[in-house]
Amino acid sequence: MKKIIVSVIGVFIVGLLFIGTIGLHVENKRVINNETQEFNTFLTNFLQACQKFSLGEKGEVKVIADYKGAHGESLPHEFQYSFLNLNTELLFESEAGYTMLFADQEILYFLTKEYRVPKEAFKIKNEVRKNTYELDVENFNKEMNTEYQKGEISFSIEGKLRKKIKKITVTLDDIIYTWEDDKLTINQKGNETLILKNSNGYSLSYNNDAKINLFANTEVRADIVMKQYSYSFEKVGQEIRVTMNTPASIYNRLELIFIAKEVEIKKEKVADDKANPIYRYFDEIKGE
Amino acid sequence: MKKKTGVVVVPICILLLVSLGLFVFSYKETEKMVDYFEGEEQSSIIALVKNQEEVNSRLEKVSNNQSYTFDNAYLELNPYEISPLSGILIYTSKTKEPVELWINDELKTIFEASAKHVIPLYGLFEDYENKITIKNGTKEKTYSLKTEPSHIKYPLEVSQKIENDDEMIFTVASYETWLTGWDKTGRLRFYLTEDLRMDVEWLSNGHFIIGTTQGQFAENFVGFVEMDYLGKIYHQYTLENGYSFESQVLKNGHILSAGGSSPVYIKEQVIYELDLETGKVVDQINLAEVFKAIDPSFNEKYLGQAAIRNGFYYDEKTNEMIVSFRGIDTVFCVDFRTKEMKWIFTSPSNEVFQNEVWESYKVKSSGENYPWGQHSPQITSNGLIAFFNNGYERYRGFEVGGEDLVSAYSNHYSRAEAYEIKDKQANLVWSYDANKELFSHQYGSIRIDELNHKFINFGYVLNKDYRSSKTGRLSESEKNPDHIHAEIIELDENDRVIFKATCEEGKYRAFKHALYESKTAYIDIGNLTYFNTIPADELKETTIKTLSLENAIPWINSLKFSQNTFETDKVMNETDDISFYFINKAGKVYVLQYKEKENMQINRIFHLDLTGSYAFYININGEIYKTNRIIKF
Repeated sequence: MKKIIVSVIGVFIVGLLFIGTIGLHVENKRVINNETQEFNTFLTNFLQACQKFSLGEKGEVKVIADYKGAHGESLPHEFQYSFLNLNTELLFESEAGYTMLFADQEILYFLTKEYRVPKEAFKIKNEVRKNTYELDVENFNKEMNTEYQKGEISFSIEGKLRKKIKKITVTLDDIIYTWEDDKLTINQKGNETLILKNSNGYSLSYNNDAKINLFANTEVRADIVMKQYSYSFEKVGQEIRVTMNTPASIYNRLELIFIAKEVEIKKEKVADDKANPIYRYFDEIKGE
Repeated sequence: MKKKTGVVVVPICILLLVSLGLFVFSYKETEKMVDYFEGEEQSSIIALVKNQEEVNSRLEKVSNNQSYTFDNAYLELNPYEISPLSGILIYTSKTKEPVELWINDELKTIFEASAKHVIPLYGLFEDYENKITIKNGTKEKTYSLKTEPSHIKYPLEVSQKIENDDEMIFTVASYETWLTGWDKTGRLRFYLTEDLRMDVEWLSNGHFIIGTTQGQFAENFVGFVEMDYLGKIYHQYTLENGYSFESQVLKNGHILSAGGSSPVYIKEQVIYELDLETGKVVDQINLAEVFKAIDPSFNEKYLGQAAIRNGFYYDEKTNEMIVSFRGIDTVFCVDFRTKEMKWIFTSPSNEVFQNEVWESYKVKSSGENYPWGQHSPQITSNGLIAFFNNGYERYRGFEVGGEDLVSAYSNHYSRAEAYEIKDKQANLVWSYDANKELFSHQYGSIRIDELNHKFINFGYVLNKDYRSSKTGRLSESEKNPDHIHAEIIELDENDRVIFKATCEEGKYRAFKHALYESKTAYIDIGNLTYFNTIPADELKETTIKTLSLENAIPWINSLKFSQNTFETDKVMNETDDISFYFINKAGKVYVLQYKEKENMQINRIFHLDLTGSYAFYININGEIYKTNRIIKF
């Protein structure tokens, strides 16, 4: 009798362990799927917030140049231009003529080009080792129009009964994404981009040369510091407001208010660069 | 037996479990606090001053080191790291002995007898193997100190020099070079690599007072330092009235200084007498109150920042103080001790003084000469009222929609003037106008000494070709020195030009002073004291449990912080509500309400009376930022 009871208990325990193992394995997959979606959602939300700062193809811009008075006076002067957006350049035109200014808007969008990965692109194939799976690179390349040779996704999982993914690492050739604790790190060719979620949106730093705080909860605002020059962006209705807040010798700050609309760009005569306060501003801070 | 064991074992187990629980809890809490205390540690005292403590400590050790002797002295270039044309020589001797200091074969000064010799080396040539010789009786030893080129952007071009004159020309420029010192052949002999400026006043001990610019607004500073030509700071004064533009040393060793009823963001102009030994204000005059007592309807705008109170001069014999309000083209006289207005000198058409209550104070000019945008008032030793008359109406300047094209000022010129003002009548008794060729629309200074020599600075002269331009603007030239220059001219008692120099940078003021006296005291290395008289702000207290700091936003903008000042390039708006959180390691939070939503003034000066180290967080409209700074008070 005693032997039978021991046997039954033994089988029961083994059975429990067996079921437990299967259950854990199933739980792994479920958690992996859920967390991967969360990873995608994180990145997608960030990039969607960035995309709200599109200037549009052309329109009007009001420039408020706050001249620095010798004794702290704030002397704002207003200028009005039509603009044409050529993605890496902006053309400003008034009656005096036009000026071309380098204006790389990619800082807010470069992630959309390089790293935006819709969830459809993420398909997992075989498990190559524990918690590491081969990424379906063909599918990825098809979705993203890329030419990666190989891809892998691996997970660090914590917890025994209630599992949680601690870290996700995605490798695509030489790009490594690491997501951990609401923080995404992207490494490629020695360049590091760090994005993390905070209470009001996202923060990004690129090699410590560029830093962005993106406020994506109730408003669309961004503070950007690039090479120690400070900017802020805000979308207010249809307007995109850009403030350049690094004092130059003649300005306290410069504020640009863009509205996308249909305008005529004549591009007939070249204006004096220095008469354009934006040109003047960048020329001054470049020299400081 | 079993029961007894259970009675003992169970409580012990409970105790162990509870202890373990407490240990785990406090470990986790400590871990959390460590997260808040990430980042760079900084002092609450501005780095310019704080960094000197370490230098003092190092040099103190050197000065106590007996191995440095007359023949083997310690020599260091620029020990305080902000005055590249200075050095220090230190040694000890067995007996007290005086020493002569020669630099580049010129006798500079004699130091008193002492066994410890801490000798400042001032006025070195740049990019040069400077020869430093010390002599004591028959003993003589020469050392060499190599300096680097200054690459100073705006040199002084001397067209009429004075040879073998120990007096230096010191100039102050806000744009680029700040405080510099030049000999009268035009060679650079002193400069600071830190931004300290506006007025410079010398004390009887050879040190000088100069403003510190951290937290400054519109050339209004939170205080000043007492410094020597090594750049060594002896005392830092952070003052409840702040400091702007002008000071004057009194015979009793106190200093008169201009500031406001509150520091930096001036709503009411105040001039105060400060005891430098204690940092306490012993007397003051609130100029806004003086004006309001006469005319309660006086436009308050011109009693604060917009007055542009750029200078004052106090006559200790008569207690009369003349003050320049450039913003309203007025020089006026008050009794500093009785706080009463004596007279105002301004154009009869000045609309600010049209109320008839001013009639009895107005001074009439015999020749229709009145102050226009003036600077640098002085009461001369024979009672004349001198000032630098810029020569255009500042009150109706381009800043308020007046003429901006330089061509509109083609006939304007600036001049130095001296008036005799008696019985409300002003007679111009002396002037110098450089043939009416120089129009300095900002800056400028004049000082007339006891020998009737005049030292004049046409500080911001529009270049000739620019004056004839059809498109040139005053507003442009005011900020950018492309089309201006400064001219510094010294006249003898017969108004002959004995010194002349120009510079392509605008000069706020120019001064004359020697680097050494004939006898000089050794440097007192250990001396560095702090005076802070700004009233402490009230701080609220809370704990980290009431704040959601875990997902704080990283602060990515610039941040310059001290016990009294906060500067950043982050856009801040008039309607922002801004608080500062200071978190100690116990999780206690001290909160400074920096700005309320309803208060349109964005920046202010404060005083945090805290001790210890604190993690610094900023709350702007409910968004909490982690600065990654640990502030050590």
